[in-house]
Amino acid sequence: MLRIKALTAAALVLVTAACAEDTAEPQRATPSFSKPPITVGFLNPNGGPVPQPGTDTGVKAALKYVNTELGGINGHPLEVVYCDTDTTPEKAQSCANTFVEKKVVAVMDGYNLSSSATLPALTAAQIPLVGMIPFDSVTGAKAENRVFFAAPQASFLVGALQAFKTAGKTSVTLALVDTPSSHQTIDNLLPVLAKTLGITAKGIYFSPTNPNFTAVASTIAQDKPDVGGLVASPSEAVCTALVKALRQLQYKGDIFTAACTDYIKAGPAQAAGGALYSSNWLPVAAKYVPAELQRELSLATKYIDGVEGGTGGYYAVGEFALLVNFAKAMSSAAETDLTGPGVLKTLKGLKDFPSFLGPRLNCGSATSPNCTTQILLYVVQPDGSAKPVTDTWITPVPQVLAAIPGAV
Amino acid sequence: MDQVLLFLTLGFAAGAVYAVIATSIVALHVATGVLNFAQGSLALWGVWVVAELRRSGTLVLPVGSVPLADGPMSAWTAVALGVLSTAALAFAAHWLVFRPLRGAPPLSQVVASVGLMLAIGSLVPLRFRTDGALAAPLLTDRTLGVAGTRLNVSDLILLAVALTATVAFAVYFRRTRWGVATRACAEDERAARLTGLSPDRLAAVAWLCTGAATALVAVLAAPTVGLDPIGYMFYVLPGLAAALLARLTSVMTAGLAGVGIGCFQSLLLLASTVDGWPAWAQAGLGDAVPFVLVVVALVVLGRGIPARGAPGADRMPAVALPRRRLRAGLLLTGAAAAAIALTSGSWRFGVVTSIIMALIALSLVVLTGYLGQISLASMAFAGTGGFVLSRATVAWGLPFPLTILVSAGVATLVGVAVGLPALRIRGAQLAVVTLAGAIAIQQLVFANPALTPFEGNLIDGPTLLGWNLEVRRGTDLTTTAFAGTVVVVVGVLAAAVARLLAGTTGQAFLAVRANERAAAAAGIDVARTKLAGFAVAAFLAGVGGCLIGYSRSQLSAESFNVIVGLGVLCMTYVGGITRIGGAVIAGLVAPLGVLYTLLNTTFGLGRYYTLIAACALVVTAVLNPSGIAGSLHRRKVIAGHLHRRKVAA
Repeated sequence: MLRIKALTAAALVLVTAACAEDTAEPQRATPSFSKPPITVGFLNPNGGPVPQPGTDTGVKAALKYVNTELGGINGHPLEVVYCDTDTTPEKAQSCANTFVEKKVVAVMDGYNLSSSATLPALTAAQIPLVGMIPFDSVTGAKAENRVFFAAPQASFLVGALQAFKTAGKTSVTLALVDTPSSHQTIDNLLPVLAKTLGITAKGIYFSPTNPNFTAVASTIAQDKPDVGGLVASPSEAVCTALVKALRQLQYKGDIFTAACTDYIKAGPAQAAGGALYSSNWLPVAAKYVPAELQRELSLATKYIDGVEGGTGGYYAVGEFALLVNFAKAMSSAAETDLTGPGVLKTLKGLKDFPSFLGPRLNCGSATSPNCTTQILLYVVQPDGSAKPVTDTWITPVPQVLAAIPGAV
Repeated sequence: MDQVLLFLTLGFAAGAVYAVIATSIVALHVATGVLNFAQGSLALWGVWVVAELRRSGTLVLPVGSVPLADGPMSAWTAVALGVLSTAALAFAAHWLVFRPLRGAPPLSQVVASVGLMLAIGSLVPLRFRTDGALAAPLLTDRTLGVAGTRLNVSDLILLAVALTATVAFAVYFRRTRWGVATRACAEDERAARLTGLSPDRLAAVAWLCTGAATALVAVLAAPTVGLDPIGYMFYVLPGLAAALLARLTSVMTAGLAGVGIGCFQSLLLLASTVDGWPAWAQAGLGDAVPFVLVVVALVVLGRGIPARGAPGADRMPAVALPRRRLRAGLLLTGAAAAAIALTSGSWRFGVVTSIIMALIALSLVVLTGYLGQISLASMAFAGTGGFVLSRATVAWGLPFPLTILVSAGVATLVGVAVGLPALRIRGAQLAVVTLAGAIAIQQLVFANPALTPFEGNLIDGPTLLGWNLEVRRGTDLTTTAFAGTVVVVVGVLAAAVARLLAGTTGQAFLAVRANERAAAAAGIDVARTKLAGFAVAAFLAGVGGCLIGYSRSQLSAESFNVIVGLGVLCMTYVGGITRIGGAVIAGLVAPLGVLYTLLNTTFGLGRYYTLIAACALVVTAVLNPSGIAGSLHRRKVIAGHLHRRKVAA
């Protein structure tokens, strides 16, 4: 009996102690606004096997920027209802229910792999899903009730492969974390794209839960492709480990690291020659950013660095850009309807809109949720900076993208 | 050839972890009779304790933490502390959880170990800073030139450490006094006690040693196989496959099989880059094939797992046939209708989800509670129903309720196919075969992009004679029409099951559960009865999967994975697997059900649902080894007796 009491007590203490550390409070605006707040939901992918901690940092930073320097949205403070997800559809569905009940006017997607599970509830309630890149390929396949300010996943692959082809590279082997969504990319997209562009492209998976990077690197290196690396980076740590493993194997081709940049800081000389892509300008490319965007980059860097205990990197910058784009788009709109349908109408009506650290957006496509197909591709320099390979944004050939549902 | 050799050795790191987990599972089964699903979670804990010590010098405990240094701690001191910490956790699991369950039905031990697995797995992301963490190197990064390829010396060291641990366990069990005594306890625990041996003390030694060995190998392997917030928890599946290939008796075979699985998975990675390798086999084979091998070993070779000679080893919780079915049925239906009428939004969604999950749990009451066939494939049957429903509504355009009948019909066929091995095997082996079936369905069907449209598994809402029964309308998250449909479907099926179980079929099920030979002697067709049980259970789960599909409007493989299936079995067992009331309790506790809604909506603790549910699972399994519904019934019976004696006096 003593043992049973001890067990019960241990379980209670365990649960209480764990719960007591909860810090996920909804972030509220400063109380100096006279108009009622505009509340948006945030699907925060901070759990499960593929967490994106930088997105949370980006939202916190952007919220502070919008409500202080930007003065809110036409005098309305911006508020965010946080909801943690863990890549399972159950969590995403639960978050969607919460957002509907909280009467948010839009939901910000933090690069979730299961965002499509929110769509039935959000679409029925006419709450648009807004994001940068639809990491869930199901979400990216249709335009209905959703707007994504950056290019679709396919654009990154097509754009990068196009650039490699132009640079004379003829063989590419890329790895991607093994999730149901990623299968759509590698099994369905890559063969079509490779055939269309006339290059040899192979895709391999690695487990999100036991990624043996030495094995992944050996698999990439075995055929000595011209380019080897990652299609998308689940985290900076993954990039660092894979780059290290490829270097150990003395892989001679170009190492492609999706949107990772941390590994460059760890060893700029070793990182030189590597390639990466992104949907917007990154701090690592600061010296090449056009003059008119230098201020935006400084702002993003300042606010992201100001988040206590935050995580920087591509996802933080991307999510910061998402909220700032949203706030600026809503501020500049003639539409005063601040309900879900009003927000969707405003965002779908964006034409030639100068996005934050990104290309100009046109969001009215009837077949694609994405407002652009343009990307940036960089090459890492010996000084640790990332230099764009072209003078302007890379635009993938629309005919190639047309093979992918929802891409154009 | 050099590539094959390279990839063979690249599998040593993961293989070493599988090997030590498999060896530990076998050792613990020999010493205690427990099939420890939590061995992978123990590895997970050890790896993160070491990582945190090396990052900040802080020793993290399940509750609280102890700062031992101002900054990062030296590597090998951290390893030593991590190994000790994991060994202590394993000992605590023995003392607090498994020792009190020594005489309890085996299924309650499985429930406790699954609860422990989920509790540790959900605790790690809460207790450690897991953002972008990397395991710093521990072993050498030197390479060795062999047969034209460069092999990593660290992989060879890992293999050597895992095999040394395996040999050490083998020697312990064969050559040492304590080891032989442990095996004696496995042969006949009562006789061993009479000779003065203490099975508890021997079990404690086994828990300590396996915990330490698992942590050591996992920590050494972490820089190679990665540092992930939940990854090692799933290592128990290949570890389990290896342990079962060793029939849960030979630690040497288990260790070698573990290494073999690691090498096999690594070679599959190499094979997946070969031109012409089929798209459907791009991923998932590495997880599914080991279990298919286990099925072959168990079914075709007909080699069973020897039962442990412990008191009460084969006991299942007592059964109370459904009585006063009409009253109970009306009461439950009335309660469900009232709950729906009184709730809205996510609360009503929670109620409806609980009702649906209760139907899936009911399938386990039929199959495991009444027929005695331990099945871990319930969610695979449900998933089959849901995925066929997606095709039935979107591609084939079938009308409701024909959609449900067709989808559940396919699930029934799958259920019978998975149940075929039950004609030859039973008990823990059957549990593993059904687990293999579930993993094969999950990896090769649900998660297979070749079978999934690019737009996902969408499901059109049901309509009946022009009446819209869709789950959502505007901001109404769960319409009364849909909730009513769910109550009617589940109510009708539950009434049919209650009638079935109270009649001759239920008695035939119970006869087979009690003693198959006696049942056959009494004229019961055992094979037919077993297949009928699998068919009924798969049909019920299939309908449940369809209702889940309708309630979410689209489905993903993640909703029906093996871990979810394990969770449902455990919740049903804790609720009371031999009673319909147990299914109701399981439904209330299930993911997205009433308990989840309470924690998420009322207390804002949705993030801690898994931890809370897992701890509740362990505590309840220890306090009520026969399930909550069984305990309530027993207390009611005792109170009735006391009342009658009082009246008589």
